Amino acid sequence: MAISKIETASLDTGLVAPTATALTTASGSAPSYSARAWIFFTVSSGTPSISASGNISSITDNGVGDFTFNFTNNFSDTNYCVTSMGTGGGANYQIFGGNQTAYTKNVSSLRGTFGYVSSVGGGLTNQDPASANIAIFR
Amino acid sequence: MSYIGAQPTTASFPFDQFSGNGSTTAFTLTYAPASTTSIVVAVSGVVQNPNTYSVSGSTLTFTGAPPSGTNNIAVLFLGLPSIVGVPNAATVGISQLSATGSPSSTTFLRGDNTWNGVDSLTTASGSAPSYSARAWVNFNGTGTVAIRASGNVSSITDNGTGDYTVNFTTAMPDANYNAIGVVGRNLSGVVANVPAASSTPTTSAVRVSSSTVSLFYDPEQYNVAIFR
Repeated sequence: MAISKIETASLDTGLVAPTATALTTASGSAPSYSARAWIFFTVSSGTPSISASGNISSITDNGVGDFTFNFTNNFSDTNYCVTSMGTGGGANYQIFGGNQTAYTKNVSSLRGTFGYVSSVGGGLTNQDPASANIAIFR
Repeated sequence: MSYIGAQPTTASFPFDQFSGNGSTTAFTLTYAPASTTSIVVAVSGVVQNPNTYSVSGSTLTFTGAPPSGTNNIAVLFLGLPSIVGVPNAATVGISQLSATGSPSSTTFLRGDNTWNGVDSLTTASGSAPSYSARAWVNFNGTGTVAIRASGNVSSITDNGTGDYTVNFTTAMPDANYNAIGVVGRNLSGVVANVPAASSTPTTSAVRVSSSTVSLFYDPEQYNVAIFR
């Protein structure tokens, strides 16, 4: 009679890797770090709408170009890495986080500003993007 | 000798032997036979009638004590019952497993009995593969540059105002990676330039800058992520 199953306790634990440090989609030996939160959202008539997301529960609209992204699960601290790109909205330049005063990191949310620079050395003018992407790493 | 199918093979049957003393009637066997006819018992070279002994578990008991003699009692097991049970802890290795694919330090045994690497995460929906950042960093670019948090970034080199080099701990497989960045500074209009203008990314580092259209500034928040 064949043995139908082998309990994991019987396995030589030296053969079992506890975690994966890289995906098979990665080449080379550099480790893999997945985004811990991401979102693709659109803004129509001043109202933001989540098209797709991961670990984002909601968006709070604080005003023109000013949004708070609320996380479903908190981050361990506020030292996470934020990347973003916004498009459209009638502006010639969209950027997130260009104004430190409106760039607030919390473990449970991230507040940032989208806007554009209209002239060389000019300031940032808040504006809603037509759509924008954010990815956060930690 | 011709045969059909797999070549016949033979196996050894377990064998116990004991020394009689003229008084002992019970002997402990290595295995527990199913019945008296599961073993052949010989005393002083004479095969015994199964009616002259009994078995209970692994105990063989004669109706009369065998005579004295060195190893004069022989017990040949005609077969053993199939032993189906749980292998002892830490006794099953790779060579005992039968699965599709090849095991290696980067593969795992999946539920469908296949050795495979991790090509997507459980947090991902759909069948598109997952691509993780191969390096990321959040650093303070003002004053003495300080890394707040990072992955696979060994250090930040301060090349001047708004000009930095992000050094990787483990090199990228080539310089064709995707580098993206976002800065935050207490001055409107400062943007991230990743890679920095006129710089050439290498497998071990990427140079980044922070500026308005014409002037460089140190940002309080500089975020960079690398994909490959």
